[in-house]
Amino acid sequence: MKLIYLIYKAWLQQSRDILSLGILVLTTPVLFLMYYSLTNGESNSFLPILILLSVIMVVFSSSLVVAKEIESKTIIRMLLAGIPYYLVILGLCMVQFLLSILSIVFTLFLFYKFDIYSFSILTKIFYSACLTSLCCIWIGASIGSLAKNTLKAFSISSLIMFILLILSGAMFPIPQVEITFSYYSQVNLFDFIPSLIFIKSIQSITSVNNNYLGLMVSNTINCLFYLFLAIAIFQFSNFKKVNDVP
Amino acid sequence: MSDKSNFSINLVKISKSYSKKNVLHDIEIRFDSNQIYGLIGSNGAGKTTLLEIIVGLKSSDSGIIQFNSDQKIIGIPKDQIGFAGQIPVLWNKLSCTEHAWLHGRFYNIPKKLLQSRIENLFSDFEFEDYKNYKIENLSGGLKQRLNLTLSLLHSPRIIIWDEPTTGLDIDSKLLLRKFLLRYSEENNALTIISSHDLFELEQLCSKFIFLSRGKIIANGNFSQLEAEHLSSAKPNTNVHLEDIYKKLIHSNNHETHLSNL
Repeated sequence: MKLIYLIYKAWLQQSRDILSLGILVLTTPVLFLMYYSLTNGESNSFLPILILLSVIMVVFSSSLVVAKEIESKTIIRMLLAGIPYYLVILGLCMVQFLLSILSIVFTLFLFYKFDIYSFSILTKIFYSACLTSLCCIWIGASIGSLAKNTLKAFSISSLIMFILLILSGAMFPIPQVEITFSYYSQVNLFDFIPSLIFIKSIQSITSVNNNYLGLMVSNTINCLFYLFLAIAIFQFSNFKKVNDVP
Repeated sequence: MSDKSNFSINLVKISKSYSKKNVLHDIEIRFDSNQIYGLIGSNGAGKTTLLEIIVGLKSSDSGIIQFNSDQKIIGIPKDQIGFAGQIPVLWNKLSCTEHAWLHGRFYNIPKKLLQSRIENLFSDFEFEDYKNYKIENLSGGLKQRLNLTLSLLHSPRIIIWDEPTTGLDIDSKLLLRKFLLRYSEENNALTIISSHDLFELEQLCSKFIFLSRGKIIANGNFSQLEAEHLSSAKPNTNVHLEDIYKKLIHSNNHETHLSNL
């Protein structure tokens, strides 16, 4: 029940900041419309990057939300009420997720309206985008927890957003970097980059490649991994150290 | 703990250091219910750190906090604490009523009860005219008044206020004093107030704790402190807390200075 009130609180705060709300929700649809009108709909090569942009923008917003709460020390209010750390971070970030979904839905709706992709393809892209968006939110929350102030969070999350964009594979081909732990197990480091998996998913969905489900599983594992990472970092960096000055 | 039963908080050998600098050194003290304690000390004496350790916002390097020492409960239940720090921490985009309502729901106060508590507290603190104002539009003093109001919303038995009168006007101070004395008596509450406003503390508090360089150098009620530390004062002269403060803190600083030489 407390989670609902935490989300409500975050929604009240976010909804009264019209500028950042508008930027988060409308940037990608507006960019798409500009791009579409400029190219007269002749090229689809930038479409995956556009959807990716609507997904990874939450890295930025969620890091700022978390850092702001720590910086202004309002986090104390929730910790004093005995709200567990994981609920605090979920409450802070769920609104970002909802806004991200809105942005994704607007963008995909335009794709549907302009007959770029069919409804079934868009549905699959939507699921994949939601998972990637969650990964990005947890990455953003981790950055916010570590940075502890909005200025630092702003610069680090901008950098991470660019890295995610560059390493997505939509701009440059990404090599496979595999680390062999034993004879049987190999870990591809790039499997931990949600943007890369997302672009691979879109490629797989649009080219009727049967690897889509496998990529969804990778994305879900990533999502859980980043969630636990975010909670751990949040708790570690704030545990009884909210204003650790004499 | 029943609603108005007596209780105590025992601090046992609480120590804390920041970057190898001792801020609190083996603090041992017992706080009892139905008392208002004034925590006094110069800047950097460790007052805020001590309060934050009691509240649970910081961990001590060593020592324990016993709540009702007979029952061997370590640490204080969070819903029993009403804490207001020296800087009001409030969500700027929310209105005062929304803030109070969310605060109450975080403490699981039933909706109807919460509504009446908000109305009563806003009326007690003369806050009705501002209840729909957004926090960002309030003055510093009003923010502090709201901060103090919120700390009492869940009817805590332990009130811990760190420099509550910062930014408050005279009327607000009088209001606060009157309310706190009534609240403390009605709820058999334990109140710890840290402040540099010695006049205010003298009016409010039944016991005083003097902290200097992380150590308790004196504690007790006014007459005890006066007898122990101002025995040389001329009879029939008006002694104030400030006189005891000067004597205690200045002589302690002097002793520390001499021992460092």
